[in-house]
Amino acid sequence: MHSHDLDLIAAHADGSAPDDTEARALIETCSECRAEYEAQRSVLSALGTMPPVSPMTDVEKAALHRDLWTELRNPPQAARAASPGWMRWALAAAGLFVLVGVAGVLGQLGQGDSAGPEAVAFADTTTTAEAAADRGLEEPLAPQGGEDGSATTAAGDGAEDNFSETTMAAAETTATTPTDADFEVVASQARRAALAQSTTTTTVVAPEVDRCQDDERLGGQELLATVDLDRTYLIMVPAGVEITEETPITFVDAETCDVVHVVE
Amino acid sequence: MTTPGTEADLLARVVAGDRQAFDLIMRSQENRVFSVCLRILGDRDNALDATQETFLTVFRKVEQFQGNSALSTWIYRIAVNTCYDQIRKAGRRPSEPLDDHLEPVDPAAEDAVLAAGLRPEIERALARLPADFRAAVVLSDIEGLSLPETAEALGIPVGTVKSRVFRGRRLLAEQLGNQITP
Repeated sequence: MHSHDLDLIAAHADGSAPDDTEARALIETCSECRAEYEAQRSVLSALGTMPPVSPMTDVEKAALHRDLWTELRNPPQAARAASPGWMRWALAAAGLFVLVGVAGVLGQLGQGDSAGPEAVAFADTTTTAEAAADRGLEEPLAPQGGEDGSATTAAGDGAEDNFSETTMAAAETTATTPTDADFEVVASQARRAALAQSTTTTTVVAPEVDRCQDDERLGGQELLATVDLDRTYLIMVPAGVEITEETPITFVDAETCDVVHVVE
Repeated sequence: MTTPGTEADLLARVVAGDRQAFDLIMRSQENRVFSVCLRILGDRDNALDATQETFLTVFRKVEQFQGNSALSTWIYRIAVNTCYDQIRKAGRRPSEPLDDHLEPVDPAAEDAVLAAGLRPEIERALARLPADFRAAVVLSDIEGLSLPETAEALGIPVGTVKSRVFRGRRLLAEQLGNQITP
């Protein structure tokens, strides 16, 4: 059956055809067309008799409104809350490696302390993991495999809930604009942490719900992690490539989607 | 439902930061959004998450609403995209079946199709449709949107909507086999 004939017959079946003369003629003269018409009508009948889904309960509505307003009323977390899906995925997939402690790293650098930024960053990460565990999360910072999306997302949710306090607290200590050297330190941390993770960054999928996802300036880039410095930055890398020590790192303002700095 | 005049007023208030106005919009649309999400995703918890994510996006992008379609259609579009994201991220088909989430039906109102036990089958068949076909069928044939409205909600041309809806029905018929043969 031609596509045009299917369109005519289906539109006749659901009553949307402005003129069904041709469809009627087809049905009368073509057995295949008649069978198609009957199938379309039967499916429409079945769909039309489906009961409505059970509406949200009062409890579910209350939770929906509470959670929604909680997110909207918390401006400092807006950058992450604006895209809970992909940022939380990023955090889970990347093992939450770089965000915690980076502010501390920069703070120490600013004080002339050159005693190994990695050590500081990962020490702080461990502290956060322990703190999260103390709050009852199971493997709160463990990298997720990405095979089971719902499990990964759930883990990301939990990590985010416990993680935000630490990152925001750290961010408060670094209100000044990062220097080029600061970005290079973070970029180095990001590359090394990504290399150390068994999870590949290609599991991070940025859906279009986020404001930066559709930004053409970020074409060909994918999210590796986020970092809170004087503001929240997206740490992005070329999409689909294996992370090496040479991978260019692009820092993007999570609010404006502007590329702020690139570390080659 | 809001009338066009009050809808425009509410939108202006939301853009100005009036959260009570947004709350009114949300309460007027949340049941339909949830229904669409549940039909597409097939899982109640995921549908609740998608509903929340939809309204977060609506609030944050309300300034981008141009008024070229009904507000409800624009919200549908965000809901469908949110569901697509969930499906894509999870790399899975929607859960099936939906039976536990359906309203009990008055036995007296059940027609011969339901009496023949078709209802669970149509749910399962719907869940097995490709996501883009399923969304088109849900919006058009279950939620009752017109083809142009469905096109707006899905962000695709009307001709593509027709193709997805009509072929979606055909796939349903094939899956249901002789159960739908009159």
